[in-house]
Amino acid sequence: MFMKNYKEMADAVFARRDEYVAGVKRKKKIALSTGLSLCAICLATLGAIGIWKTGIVEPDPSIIGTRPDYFTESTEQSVNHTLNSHATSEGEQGSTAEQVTPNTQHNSGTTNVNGTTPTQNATSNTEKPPKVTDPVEKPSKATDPVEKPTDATSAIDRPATSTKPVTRPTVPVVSDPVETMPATESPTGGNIDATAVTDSTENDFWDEPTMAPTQVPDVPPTSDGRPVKPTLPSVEIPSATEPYYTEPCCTEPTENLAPPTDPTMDATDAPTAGNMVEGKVVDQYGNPVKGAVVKVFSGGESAGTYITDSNGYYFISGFEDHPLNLGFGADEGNYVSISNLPSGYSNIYTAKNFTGSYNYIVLVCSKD
Amino acid sequence: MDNGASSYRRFLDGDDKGFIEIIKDYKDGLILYLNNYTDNIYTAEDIAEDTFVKIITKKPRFSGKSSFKTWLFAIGRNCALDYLRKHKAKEISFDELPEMKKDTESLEAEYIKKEDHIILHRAMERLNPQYKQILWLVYFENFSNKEAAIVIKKSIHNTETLLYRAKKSLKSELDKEGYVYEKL
Repeated sequence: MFMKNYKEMADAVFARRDEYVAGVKRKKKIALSTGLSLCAICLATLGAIGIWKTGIVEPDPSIIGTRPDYFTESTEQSVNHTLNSHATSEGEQGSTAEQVTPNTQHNSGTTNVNGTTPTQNATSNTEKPPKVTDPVEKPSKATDPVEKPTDATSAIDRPATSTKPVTRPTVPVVSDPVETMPATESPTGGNIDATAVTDSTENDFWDEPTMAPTQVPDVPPTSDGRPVKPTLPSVEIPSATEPYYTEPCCTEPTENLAPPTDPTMDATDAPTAGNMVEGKVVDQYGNPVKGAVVKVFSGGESAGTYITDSNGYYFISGFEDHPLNLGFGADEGNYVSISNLPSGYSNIYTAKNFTGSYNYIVLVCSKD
Repeated sequence: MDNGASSYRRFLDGDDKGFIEIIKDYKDGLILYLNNYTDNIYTAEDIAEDTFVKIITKKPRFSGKSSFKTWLFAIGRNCALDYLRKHKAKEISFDELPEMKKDTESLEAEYIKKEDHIILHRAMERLNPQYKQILWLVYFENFSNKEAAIVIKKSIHNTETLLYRAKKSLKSELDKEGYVYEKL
């Protein structure tokens, strides 16, 4: 008898029912877990998209996408350069030393985080570039006297080898070429690189007449009215008995006439020129006029042009003979001249209506 | 409400004994009915078990428009057709034939009981499957023509026509063996 009785069939039916229920529960569990996972992923994605769209979290460009300071391109170049220098040949020490010299000079006295020189790190670990403090890439502002004129004294005391090598050429737009002051002939007699002084474009060095011993050739002004920085001409250190700045003998208010004083530099060590004209252009209310064109004519020819700075100051030197003619104008080519400036005196000269539209008071101080 | 319907109601209410009663009451008749489709008592038994499993798992709604037996046999018929559609004809080994014949006779003796009905059922084995199905429903399950029409999913007219032809064919078969059945 192979056939089941009703009890056996009932047991088989209920057993299959239990299997079916278990399978359904298992499928429901799997579906539930899968659904929950998908929902969690969707919620996380939606949340991330929402946060991203609201702009709460924005990438910080100073953090994201920048490499550490100790690993810069110049560092790579420096390391590679050093490696190449070592790999070139040991017999060619002379030429190799010349190639390495700039970097080694910059790295002299500097150590990386590990306390070793970059060359040592580069040679010991070529896969991971060492943390190199590259003075070329990030020079400390204290080492650059141009960056902060107030630290001029400390900057002067700093050896010139610690400054970055300046490859900037002299100003090519100078119509009257002048000699470039070599680094060793700085007015202070220190080791300040003369070209390094002209490095910064954001400092106020050129706004201070006490710090601008240059003759400005005929150079068109920049868009913001500031002059193009020329190279420093040869200047003579004035005698200590001769004041650098002479108080003008006039009745004009003198509060605007005082040049910005540099506590680290007095009149005795300020660079001056043999023949120079300096002053300030103000309007009828005494406010400084920025961007006015001041031009010196010596012997009928242009001897220098200067664009007044934000304080209205101008400073022209490097011409030879007096008497001079000064021309003032709002733009070049439209001047009101003050003729026959006496030599060796400081005075105030007033030129009115030199723009044809406005009244300007021009303070001229000239001296030998 | 017949016994099958009340048992099924109890089962739906959570009493598994109700379904055991259904199996006890309708298992043999369903197997013999499905045997008319499969010509294999074991396959018919498997299909009957599948029918009960389908009911116990899916728990279909019984509306009461027909008797519970009609509803159950209709479900069994659908399961048999599905099985035949999937498995086609099942070959039977010669070793199984004696056992299967023995089990079939045992089931007949247990379910049919009356000797004349058993002779009638054996005569039905030689008929067309459709004739066997309608004759079983009418003569052995005591279905009316309408209920039989519901089970085999034919119209009443077609069912009556089919039943007429089935009786005529069965009578000829019985005449061959010398039996006379009064109700034919």
